[in-house]
Amino acid sequence: MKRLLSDRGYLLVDMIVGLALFGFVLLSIYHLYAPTFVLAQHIDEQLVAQQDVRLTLDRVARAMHETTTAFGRMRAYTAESGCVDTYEGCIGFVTARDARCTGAFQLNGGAPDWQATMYLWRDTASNELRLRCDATTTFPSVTWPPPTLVPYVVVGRHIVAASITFRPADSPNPTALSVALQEQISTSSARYQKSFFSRTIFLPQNR
Amino acid sequence: MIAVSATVLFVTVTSVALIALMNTDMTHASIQHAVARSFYIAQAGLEEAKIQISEAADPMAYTTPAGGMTVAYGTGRFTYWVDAGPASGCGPGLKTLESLGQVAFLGRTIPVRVRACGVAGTPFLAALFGVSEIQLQGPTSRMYLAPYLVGTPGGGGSLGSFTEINFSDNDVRLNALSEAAIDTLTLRDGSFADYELFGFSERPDYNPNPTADPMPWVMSAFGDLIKAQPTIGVLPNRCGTRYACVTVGDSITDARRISDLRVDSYVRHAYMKSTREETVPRLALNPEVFRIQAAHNTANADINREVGFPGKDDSTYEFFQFYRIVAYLAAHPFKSLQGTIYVDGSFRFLKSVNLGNITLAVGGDLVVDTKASVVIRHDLSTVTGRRTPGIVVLGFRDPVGRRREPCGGQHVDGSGRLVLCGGSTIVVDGLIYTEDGMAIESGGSVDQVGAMYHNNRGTPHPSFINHGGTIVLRFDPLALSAFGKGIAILSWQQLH
Repeated sequence: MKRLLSDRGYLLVDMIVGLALFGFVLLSIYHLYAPTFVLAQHIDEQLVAQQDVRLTLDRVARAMHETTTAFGRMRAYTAESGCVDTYEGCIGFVTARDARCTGAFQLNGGAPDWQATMYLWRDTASNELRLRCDATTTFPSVTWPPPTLVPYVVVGRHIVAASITFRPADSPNPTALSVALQEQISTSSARYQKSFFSRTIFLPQNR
Repeated sequence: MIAVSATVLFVTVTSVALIALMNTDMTHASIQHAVARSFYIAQAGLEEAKIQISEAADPMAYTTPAGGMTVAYGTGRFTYWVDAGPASGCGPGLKTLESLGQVAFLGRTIPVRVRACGVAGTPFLAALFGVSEIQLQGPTSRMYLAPYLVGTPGGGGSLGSFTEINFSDNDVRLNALSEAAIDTLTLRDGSFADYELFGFSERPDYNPNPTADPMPWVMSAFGDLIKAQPTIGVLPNRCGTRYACVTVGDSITDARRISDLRVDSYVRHAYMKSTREETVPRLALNPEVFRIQAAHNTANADINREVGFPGKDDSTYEFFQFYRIVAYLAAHPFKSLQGTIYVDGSFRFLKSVNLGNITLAVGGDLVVDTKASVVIRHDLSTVTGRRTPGIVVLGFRDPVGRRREPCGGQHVDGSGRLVLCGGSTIVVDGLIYTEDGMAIESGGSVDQVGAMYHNNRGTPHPSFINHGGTIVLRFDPLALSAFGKGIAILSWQQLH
């Protein structure tokens, strides 16, 4: 007994107490960092959402820059003109690119030789932003929907709202197009904002 | 000690992970920002190229070195080319402008490349422009402002003025494409349904009734009504507006939109895409240029000899000399003139004549008599042929001549007017320029490929009157390059 008492080392109880203390310290640190983790996760989700919307806009940016706001060559459809129910943020505009709207920019005497009409809209059922290339006409349909909207490509997902308006508003000669999209974050913490808006102004460069 | 070390390690790893996460997110956002900056820097390069072309002594001849011109701009740089290096493809006679915007980011260079096509030598585009009033009169007036090079449907020319565009009658027809039935036009190259001029292969299906459809879709195939304002000085109008106004009859109410014109003012046969306000420079041609060109033009020496001017090599004529030339050409339809012809004084065509591939410059007024026909055709397969002016009516330096009335109540006094009397016809290529306006009387006809610019010398004459004539103007922007100033952009595209 005397020998044992003089021996150096830790008892099991020392170890248990030590581990408990260590766990307590870790737990304290974790609690200290918990809001930081949540914040980081939220920031990441927000940036992912913003990136998604930006990528969505990037996919249509060139076509929108290359089109024209001239009367009859670009139409933003309102609810009165048929963009309701399963449709939202509907717009039709011309492109001078051939080969399903992605080919070479066609010129006629140096001016754009319009090749097709592109339709962009949000499908409210699927929350997809869809783009259709209609090479049969260079005059966007007067009312929505156009004769056919298939086939189309999906340029954005998780878009819960879309609004497309001319700028200046109510001008007979609009010069710009305002595209506003809203994306929903599905896994966000309840403490933070779940919806994110992105509004981009496009200035079509052709007359 | 172990607990402290483990805690420090945990905190460090967690912090580094968080920083890395944030850094990744920020990098993504920054790349997008850099792409946007690169785009706008490329646009700045295009604007710089336009400025350099406009400021060049000869905008049509301006080019950059093959390596382009590189300028640091903002947080990046742009390189632009004009008809050099990668800048090509807009077509003959046109300027190709290309700009590369570059922004360095994280050891990479983010590029955006844009391209524009333009017409050098003109600061703006209008098929028919009048410094003073444009007046469209009479129920039989018809005017079509179509494109010369027809592509997919559309591309009509614009109509503009610094003061006023007046529809004197409600039944004036402007780009009224086969409203009730197919309307056919007989031109120098055959008979066409009017809609074919605009690229439609069949009669466009639209409702011409403005109360049912104020803005039918077909209007997007046409040009604009340009309500212009000069860059220098003020040209007052009846309406008291800063820009030109669009009026009907004697009213001084400005129609702001085409739908106002068609619905509220009952001008139901007028079709244009839109009205737009624009500030543009006032242009003019220098008479001396044409006088010198004609003085150096010896291509007509043979004809001069044959009509009795044996020692005359040049192509400047007194009006009585030119009468003999015209009489000779009328009697010898297989003969024609070439190059720039300068007539020193007013002239009146009494007979039909094919003048040939010329620029007719008149240092007085020009009248085409009743039922006479004048033809001036250029080789439109060449850039030079498309750029060469057709008719230039310059007026006397000091118009003090007797005021005369050649026909239809039109007055001329040497100020530089072009008058087409009833039933007369001109077939002309290139620019028609007048120093003091143009008038077309009832039954007159214009078949033109090119453009019109009508000045004003401070007289009360409108710059342009169509009083019951038929005008088919197939607009070729290259015709405006005769002014030799500025550049007008026709198209824009993003290459990557």
